[in-house]
Amino acid sequence: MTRLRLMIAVALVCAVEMGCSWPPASGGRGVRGQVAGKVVIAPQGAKGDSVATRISSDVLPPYEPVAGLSGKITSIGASTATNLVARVAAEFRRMYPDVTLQITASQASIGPQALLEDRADIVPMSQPLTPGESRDFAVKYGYPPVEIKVAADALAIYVEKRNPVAGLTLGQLDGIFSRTQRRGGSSIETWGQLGLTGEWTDRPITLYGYGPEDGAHQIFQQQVLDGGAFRLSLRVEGGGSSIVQGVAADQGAIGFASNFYAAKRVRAVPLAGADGQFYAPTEENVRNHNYPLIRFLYIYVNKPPRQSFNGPAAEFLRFLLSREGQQVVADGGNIPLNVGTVEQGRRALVE
Amino acid sequence: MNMRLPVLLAVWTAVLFCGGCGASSGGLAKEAPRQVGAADGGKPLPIMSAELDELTRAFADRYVGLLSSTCDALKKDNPDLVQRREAQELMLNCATNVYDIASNADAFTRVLDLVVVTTLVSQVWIDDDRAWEVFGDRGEVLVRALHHGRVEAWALAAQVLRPEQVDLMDYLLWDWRRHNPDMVQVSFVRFSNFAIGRGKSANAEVLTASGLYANVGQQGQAVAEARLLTERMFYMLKRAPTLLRWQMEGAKDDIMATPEVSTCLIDVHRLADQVEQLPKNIAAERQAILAAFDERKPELSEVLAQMKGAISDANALATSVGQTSNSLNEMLKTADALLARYDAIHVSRPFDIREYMETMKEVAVASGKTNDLLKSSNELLGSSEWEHRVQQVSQSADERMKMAAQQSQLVVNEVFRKVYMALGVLLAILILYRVVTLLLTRRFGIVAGNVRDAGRKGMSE
Repeated sequence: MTRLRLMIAVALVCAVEMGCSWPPASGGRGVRGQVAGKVVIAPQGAKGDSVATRISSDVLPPYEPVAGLSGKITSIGASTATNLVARVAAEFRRMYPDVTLQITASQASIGPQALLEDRADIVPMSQPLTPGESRDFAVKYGYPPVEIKVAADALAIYVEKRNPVAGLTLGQLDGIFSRTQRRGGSSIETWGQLGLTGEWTDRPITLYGYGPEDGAHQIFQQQVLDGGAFRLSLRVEGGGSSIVQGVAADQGAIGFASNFYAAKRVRAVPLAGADGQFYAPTEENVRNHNYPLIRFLYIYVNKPPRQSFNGPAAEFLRFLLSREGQQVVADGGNIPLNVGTVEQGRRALVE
Repeated sequence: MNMRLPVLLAVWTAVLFCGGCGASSGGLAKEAPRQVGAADGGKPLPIMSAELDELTRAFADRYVGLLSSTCDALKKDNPDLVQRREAQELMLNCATNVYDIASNADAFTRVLDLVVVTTLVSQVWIDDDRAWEVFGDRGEVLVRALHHGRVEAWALAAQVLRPEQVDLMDYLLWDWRRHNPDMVQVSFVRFSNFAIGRGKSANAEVLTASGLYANVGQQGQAVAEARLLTERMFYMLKRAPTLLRWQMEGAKDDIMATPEVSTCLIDVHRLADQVEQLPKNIAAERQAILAAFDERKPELSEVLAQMKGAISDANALATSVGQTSNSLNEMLKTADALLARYDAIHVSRPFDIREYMETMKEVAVASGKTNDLLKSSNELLGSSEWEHRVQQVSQSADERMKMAAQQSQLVVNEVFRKVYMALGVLLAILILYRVVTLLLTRRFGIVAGNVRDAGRKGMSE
């Protein structure tokens, strides 16, 4: 009888231990598995390092740190560009531990407002300021804001990996995503209308993309839909990763997101360039402007003309436009700038 | 030691139940509703803490239910032990961690943790295509389920996060995955992992500035810890049996998928299959033998009939050969008689043309018979039927027929030899006849000449 009680007790203890031995979520449990205990951790950054471009020293000048830099940098801007700023900031603070950064990711419209109200030292944007926003700034300060391109990015068109579509034109994309078809094409609702056969012929096309507040949504609307309206069936996701997964889980799906969100289960479709040839969204095709859906990431600063621009924010931008800074850009999945664009940005900081 | 354990367990269980009952009776009802959501810079979202409690726990149950159904579908009729184990392990790990999260004290942290787990799990199995790599075509159901779970989790998050916070979370999770590409068991990761680098990581700075941590901290301090502890225990205790069952099933699958056990099981399966099929195999083989026998039966009958026909033909041939021999004997006797007559004529008796005429008639008759015989023999030997029959007889390995054929051949050879002899004799007779005729003609001519000369002489005299 005692043995029986003991066995029951042990069983109950095991059951309860399983339920209660999971550490509390606030306990900083990390990635150590307590139940199955099968956690495999790869070397940090293995995937990023394998695809990142190495920027040679003869292409861009190295950064030369300054002594005794301290202070605070306030960044308020769009989320995509802010993510880049956050990555660069991590490297920047290793050199300048006395510099603090307050980085806020917000809707695309918040950054220009912060710039106008002088609440931010730098304003990362994933699209240029609108003429109205620039005009408002110029009216208030008497000069335009300084625009600095800090990275390039390709808007890739993703389909599920088994989708056999070979390439698309911007006109076809307009027919797929737009309900207005301003490019003059017809409405495209099934994969058969794009020439696919067999099981694809009658398969409907499902659309994934960013919401209207996102810069990528607006760029796509301007460059592909020619300012027209998206279809109401567009499935809006919270971010590029969600868009890519939406496409990955749906054989009939197509979506647009940054090139660096590429995953195993999706394929980036080559797009027809200005010369009619099809180009994949590779770094080379972006840098030589063959791929048609290119955007830049910008940082706007409030700098009066012919006045020196110094301090932590200026140094941060100089770092970003150096070899080391562009290496961070490449490591993060963005496309680094070519020499001419970097030089253009560096000049804008001193003029 | 033996006595302490049950006592401790009993005390601990009593504490659990008493605390749980006490809390459930008063704690929830007395708490004033609080608003949860984006606190810094954004308009707070109109959702109450209690409502979020319900939503997160309901989501946890739905998610686990969805995974359970999916893993059942993956395991159903699936003979692959490794796939079964993977499915069970996925379900168990996700369920364990999602229930753990759902029993967390802070509703806001709960939402973020659920988003982290569902997103990372879906990234591993969908984005990295592990579902296809592990389960092949079966993995499609898992892809759909995990994506559905992720969409629901993000919809839940959208009720407490601003759009830019959602975007930021999306990027942070993607970036975390990018830096941990080979980590497969991600259901243990929590939002707090992103806070490890707080004060050091720029991403953590972004999170701080975006107000996410602020919410986590405020909400965590605001709740009554005793009530939540007992609630959490209740929540977990109710689900513990299910988890225990799954865990045991997982352990079983784990053991079954071990290579040694797997090999042993395969052998046992093969043996069992063989034993099961043995009576069937024997019956089938018996059936096959009988069928083959039945199938060969007409052929055997036909062969026997052909053998009978061949024997009958051989008998007829032997009869005909016998008759031919008799005819030849008679012809040779006739030839002998002819020669004897010739000898007699040559020696003593005077030549009598009638005898030769008679002999010639007999020779002619014999020659005709011989010709007929030869013709029939040739026809017989040249006919395909004869060859066919001979072949059949040979093929049937009948010694008697072989001997008959050999004897027939000997007889035929003998017949030919005698025929040739007869022809030679006939030719000689003909030549002799010609010579005799010439001699007789010459003698009669001389006699006639002498008679004519004697007549001329008498007349002239």
